Amino acid sequence: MAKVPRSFRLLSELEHGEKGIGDGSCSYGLKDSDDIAMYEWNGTILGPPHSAYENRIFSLSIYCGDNYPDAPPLVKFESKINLPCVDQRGLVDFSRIPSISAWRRDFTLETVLVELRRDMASPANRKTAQPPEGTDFPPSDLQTLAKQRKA
Amino acid sequence: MTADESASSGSDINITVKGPSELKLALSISPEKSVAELKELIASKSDVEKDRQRLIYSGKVLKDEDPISNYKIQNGHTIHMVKGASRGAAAASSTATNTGGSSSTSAGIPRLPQMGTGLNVGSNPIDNVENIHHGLAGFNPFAGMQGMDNLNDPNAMANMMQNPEFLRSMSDLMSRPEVVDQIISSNPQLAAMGPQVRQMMSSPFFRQMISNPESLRMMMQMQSAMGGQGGMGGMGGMGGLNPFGAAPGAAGDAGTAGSPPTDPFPNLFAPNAGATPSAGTAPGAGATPASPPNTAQPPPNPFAALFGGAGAGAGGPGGAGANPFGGFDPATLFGAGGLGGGLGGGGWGAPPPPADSRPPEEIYATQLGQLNGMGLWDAAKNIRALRRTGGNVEAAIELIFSGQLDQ
Repeated sequence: MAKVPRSFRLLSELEHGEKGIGDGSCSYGLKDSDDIAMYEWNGTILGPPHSAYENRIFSLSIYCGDNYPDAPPLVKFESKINLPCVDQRGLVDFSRIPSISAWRRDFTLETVLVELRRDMASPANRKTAQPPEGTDFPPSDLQTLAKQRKA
Repeated sequence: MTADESASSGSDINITVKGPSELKLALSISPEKSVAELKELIASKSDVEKDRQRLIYSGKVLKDEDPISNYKIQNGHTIHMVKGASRGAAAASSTATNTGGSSSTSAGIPRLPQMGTGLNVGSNPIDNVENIHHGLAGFNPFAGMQGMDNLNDPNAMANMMQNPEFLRSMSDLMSRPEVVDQIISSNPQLAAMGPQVRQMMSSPFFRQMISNPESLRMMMQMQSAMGGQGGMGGMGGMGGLNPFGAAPGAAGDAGTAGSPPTDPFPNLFAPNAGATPSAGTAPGAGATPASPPNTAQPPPNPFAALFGGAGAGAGGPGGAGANPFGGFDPATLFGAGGLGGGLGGGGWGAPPPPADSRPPEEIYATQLGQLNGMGLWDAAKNIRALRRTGGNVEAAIELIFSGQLDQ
C-alpha cells in the first residue's frame, strides 16, 4: 500500500476536523489556518458523562512533527487535568495509553483524542479528583520539545 | 424562522451546529457577527439557552466577545455545541445529563430512572435473554430460515454456511455501516477493542471472508485441526487477510490472553473447542510462532494467513473478558448482529459480558442519535427503551410507541 505523504494526510485530517465529521466529543483543527506546514493544532475533548470530567471542555495543543504520521504527534493538555498518562507539564505519555501505545501510521489525531477521552472514562480514571475548572498547565513550546524528543 | 435567517446576504456563511444527542442545526450567519450573537441564534432554534452553550470549532472554544470571523470558519463547516454545567433551574429539560454536576457517588441520585433489565445481564440472564430475544425479533433477517434454531450445533453452523441465502444476508448485513455500528456498540467487548474494529468490520475483505463459504469452511477445518483453539483463532485469520494489515492483536491492550478459554460463547466455528481442554494453555503460545510470516507476506497463502491471524488474535484482545477471543468471536458477531432470534440462550444470553461500566449515553450513542433523528427527544426514555431492547433501535421505537415502557 502506498504511503500517504504527511501533508496529504494532515490535509485530510484538517478537512475531517473542520467538517466535524466526528461525534463532537472530540474536536481538532489547525492553531493557525495559515500554517502551511500544519505543525500546530488545537484539540478539545469533552469530558465523558458520569465521570469527574463531566461538563468540562479540555483544551489541548498538538504538534505534528515532520515525521508524523510515522511517529505520534506531541500532545499536551492545556487545561489542567489529573490523568495518569499526563505529566506535570500537561504532556501526554503515549506509552501509558494501551490502545495507542504502539503507534501506527493509520492512527489519526482523532484517534488520539478519542482514546484519551476513553482513558478518562475508564473505570480506573473516571472518578479521579480533578483540579478546579479553568486552571491551565503552564505554556510550553511544543516545537522545541518535539525537536528535543527527536534528538 | 428568524429575522437573522431571512436577512441572509451573500456574505453569510452556512454552518452546521451539532449539539448534544446529535442535535443538528443548519444556520446561516454573517461572519461579522459575534459569537454571542451566534449563540442567540442557536438558542432560538434549540432548547439550549445561550448561557449554557459552549461552542467548539476546530479544537477551539469560541469566546462570546469574538467575532465569528476570528475563527476563520468556512462555509459548510461544523461547530460543536456543548451544554455547559447547568445553572439553576435547568432540571426542566429531561435530558439524562445529570443536573447535579458532581458525579461522585453511585449511591444517591438515581440518574436514570431504573436500569431496565438490559444491563443486568449477569444477575438475571434468563430475563435478559428474553428481552434481547424480543428486541431482536424485528431485526432478525434470518427469521424463518431453517436450521437457525440451534446454533450450538456445529452441524447447524456448517449447514448454514452452505446456505447461499445466509451468506448473502450476512454480507449484506456487514455492508451496512449502521449495522456495524450497532454490533459494535451493543457489544462492550467489541467496543473496547479500539478504533480498528469498525475499520476491519467494514473492510471489504472481511465481508468477503465472512460471506465466502470456502474460507469459512476452511476456518472450521483449521479449528478442528488445531485442537479447538477457540473461535477467535479462525476469526483472527481475518486479520491476516485484512488489507490494512490490522491484525486484531495490534489493537489489543497488552493482551492478557492467558485468561482460560472458558469460552462462554458456543464456539460456532470451532466445534472441538469444548472437547479439548488442553487448548486452555495453548491459544497464545501455540500459534504465535506462525505469526511473523503473516506480517511478512500476507494473503497469497491462505493457510499462513490463517495461522498468523490466529497468533495475532490470541495475543491481542484478551483483556476483554472471560473469553479471550470475545472481541471477534463469531458468536458475538452473529449474536449481536441479529441472528439472535434463533440463537436464544446460546449466543447472547449465556455469556455474562463483562459489566460495561460506560454510561448508557456512551454505550448507546449511535442508537440515541438515530432515535433523535427520528424526533424522539426524551433521552431518558430512549435510554430506557434501548436498554430493554439491548440497543436495538427498531425494537426500542416499537417499545416507546407501544407505551409499554412506562408501566
